Amino acid sequence: MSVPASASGVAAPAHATAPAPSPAPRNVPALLVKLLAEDFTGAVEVSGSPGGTIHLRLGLVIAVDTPNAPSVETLLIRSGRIDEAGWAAAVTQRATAGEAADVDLNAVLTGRGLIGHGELEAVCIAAVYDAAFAMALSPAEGWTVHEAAVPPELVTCPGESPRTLAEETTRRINALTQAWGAPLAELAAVRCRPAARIDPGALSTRRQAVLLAANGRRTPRDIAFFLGCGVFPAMQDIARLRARRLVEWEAPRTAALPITARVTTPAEVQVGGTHILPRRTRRDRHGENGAGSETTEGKDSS
Amino acid sequence: MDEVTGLAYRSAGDFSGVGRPHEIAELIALITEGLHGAGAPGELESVVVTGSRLHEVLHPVPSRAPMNTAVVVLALDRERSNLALAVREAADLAGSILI
Repeated sequence: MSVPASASGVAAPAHATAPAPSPAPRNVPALLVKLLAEDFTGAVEVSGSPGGTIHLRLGLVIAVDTPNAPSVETLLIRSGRIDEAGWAAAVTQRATAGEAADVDLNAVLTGRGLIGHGELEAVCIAAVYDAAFAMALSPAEGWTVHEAAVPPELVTCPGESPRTLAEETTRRINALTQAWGAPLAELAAVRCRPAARIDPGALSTRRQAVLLAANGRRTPRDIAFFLGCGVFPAMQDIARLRARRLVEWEAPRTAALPITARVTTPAEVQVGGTHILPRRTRRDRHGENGAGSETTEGKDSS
Repeated sequence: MDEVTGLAYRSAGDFSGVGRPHEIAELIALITEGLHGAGAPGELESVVVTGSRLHEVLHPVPSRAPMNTAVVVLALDRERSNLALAVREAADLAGSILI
């Protein structure tokens, strides 16, 4: 059963036979708190740009999928924790095992020695918080609650509290906004590149990798996908590198057409700080009905 | 906890004296940048903070992913701990905690 709603809190019941609704949640965090009280298991599909899906088990958040943040798979492979051949072999083994209760991808990955239990758990937890942060960068337009949703293979267990998730997301947004000094939409869209020749000894391995990935075409999200790290850490690194003047970027292009004609107009000519009004000039055109015609450059405001 | 984001993954015992994780992450970033700025190359191995009541030991966890570093944070009762042994055990713990 799916129950859609709008972000404004106006409930939009999917079925006429639905039970009398309780006060509609105002936003996604409030919805998650409500679902925690109900021990809800399923998924909340959040619409927006780009939106995402929040997976819940007994009210706790076990996974968050959004195109704006790397998935657990991306984090494992792109970071170099697991090579692609090992991942493919694990997925094949998992598929071969079928629906056996004791064989999930988590067990396969750890059983094959590709990653430790602790590290996989840490990656899954970090992915939840990072995806929640990435989703919070753009406002939610609405949501749909799915009771029979299939969760991803790799999830955190037992799950993260929605309250803790909301508090941490708020903290991250506030901290990054303070560090950046401007709306985060600007930071999220910036395509930076190294400002000058960098002395590798003056930077940590992580910062060096971020600088190498920043080629003037990648946004922080792109860098996160490229390096296999979170979007929040990537944005944090860019903000800190900017504070040290180690990165630079071009101002975002405007939608205006490029100017190819002469920019200066007679009305802009100033002498001694005062505007000179454009002078009407007479131009004689011979051969046009035998009489001269007037053309005007600029605009006479007198 | 995560060294970069300050996200606490798991905790045990009385961690009320440790401080907030994101502040610890800020401290680590400050120390790392300060050391590199002062011309000390390489990565941070550990941080030990001694106080009148508590010792605090921070030890990065070795990982195959240099972009994602975890840190073990230990808070020790000064009256009941040996700092040298604690630092050594923190290193052992950091080497085994992700396995």
